[in-house]
Amino acid sequence: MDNTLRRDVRLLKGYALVTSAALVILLLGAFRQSQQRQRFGEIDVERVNIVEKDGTPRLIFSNKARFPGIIVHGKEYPHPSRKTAGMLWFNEEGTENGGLTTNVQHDSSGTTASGLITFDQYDQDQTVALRYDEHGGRRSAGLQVWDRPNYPIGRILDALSLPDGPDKTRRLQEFGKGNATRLYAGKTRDRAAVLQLSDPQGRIRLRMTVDSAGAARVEFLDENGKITSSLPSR
Amino acid sequence: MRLSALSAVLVALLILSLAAFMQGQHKPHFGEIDVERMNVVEKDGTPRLIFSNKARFPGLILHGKEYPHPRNSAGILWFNEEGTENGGLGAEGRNGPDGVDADAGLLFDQYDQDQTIGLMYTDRDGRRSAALHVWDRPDVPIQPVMERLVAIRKMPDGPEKTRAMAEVGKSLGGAKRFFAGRTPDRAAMVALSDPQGRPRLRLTVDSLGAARLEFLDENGKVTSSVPK
Repeated sequence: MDNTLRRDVRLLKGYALVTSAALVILLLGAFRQSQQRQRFGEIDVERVNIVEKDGTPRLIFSNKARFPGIIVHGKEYPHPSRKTAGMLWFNEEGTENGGLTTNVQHDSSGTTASGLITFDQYDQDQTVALRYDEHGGRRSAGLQVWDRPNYPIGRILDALSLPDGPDKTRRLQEFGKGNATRLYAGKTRDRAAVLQLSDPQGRIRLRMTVDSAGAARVEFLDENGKITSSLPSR
Repeated sequence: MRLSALSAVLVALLILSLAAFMQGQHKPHFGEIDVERMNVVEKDGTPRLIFSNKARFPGLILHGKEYPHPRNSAGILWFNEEGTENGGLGAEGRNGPDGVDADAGLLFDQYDQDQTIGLMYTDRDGRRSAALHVWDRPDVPIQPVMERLVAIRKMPDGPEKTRAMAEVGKSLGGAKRFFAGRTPDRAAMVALSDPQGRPRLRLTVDSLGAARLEFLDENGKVTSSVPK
């Protein structure tokens, strides 16, 4: 009886020693893990957030299922249309200021596909982008530059979350002003290669075109879209 | 007393394993990680973004199937909902016996096809180009072409294989429609081309600073220019 007890105690002592040692090693390992870089061969992940120490997102890489809404000054708004995977980048204030997304959908009207890298005006929508899109076999791809309004985009996002009514309509109309394409360089859906320069109202005033038949021209346009001068001269 | 020490150890172990379990459920947080390849995937495993070094860089993945596609670069690839690569960002460069050989690019592909728009830099021993490019691509999907290539590679070497390879090459076509940037001969240029890829309208400031706007016919002959 005494012998059994002694043996048990010895066993337990040994057990306590081993587990305590294991615990110390585990804790040390956990501590060192947080101090040192971890190294991986290959990992699968659904979303990666590159964050500042306080949690402010600076880059988000995500699949479609976990893709964020629009994050402005750390507040997340539902995005009205985005159904993509890709990357987003954010400024120091935790505001989305661009991203890279791609998309494809098929429905009765055909295939819709897009690819896009954008950079946003501060606290506003995209101001420069490379973009490709196609719908029903009609494709465009180009560099696009926009003017954006001077007010923060948070206002339009707040207006979007209002109940439908005259107040919402008025605000959305007001905030819709000041958006204009200033430059487009690439190809259009009607298979022309173009370089288009526009005024602050978004009206094309200088246009270089090589159309789908290979005809080339340079055109100057007035504010009504009427050609006032062109090359080659006839 | 010994018993309480033991239970303390057991409780601590329990907390640790619980924490480990919850880490699997919640977001883990890392200060800095090194990784050779990272796949951002949908729940069903469909890749949407792949960040990779050169050694682990994937081949060409089309509708979830990977085809051999040797590339020298490391970088990022993106994929659509159907698990088809539709663009990427890559860079490579080396200074070998023939001088510098470097490339970098950010490219987006036409749906089920090759690149349709991109920013590209190339350097061949000091002859450098850096520009925005826009391409037309065929209306047919690229996957059957890749399947054909796989079949051809299995053929015994000989004139038949060579002929088949040349035939496939034709269906990988495309025409450059737009170029804006710097050419290898040090000109700054905007060139607009027809659907056959022939420049028809060109703005140039050459390496000597001479500026001109030119219209060209389908044979590349300048038909009109400003200043005259």
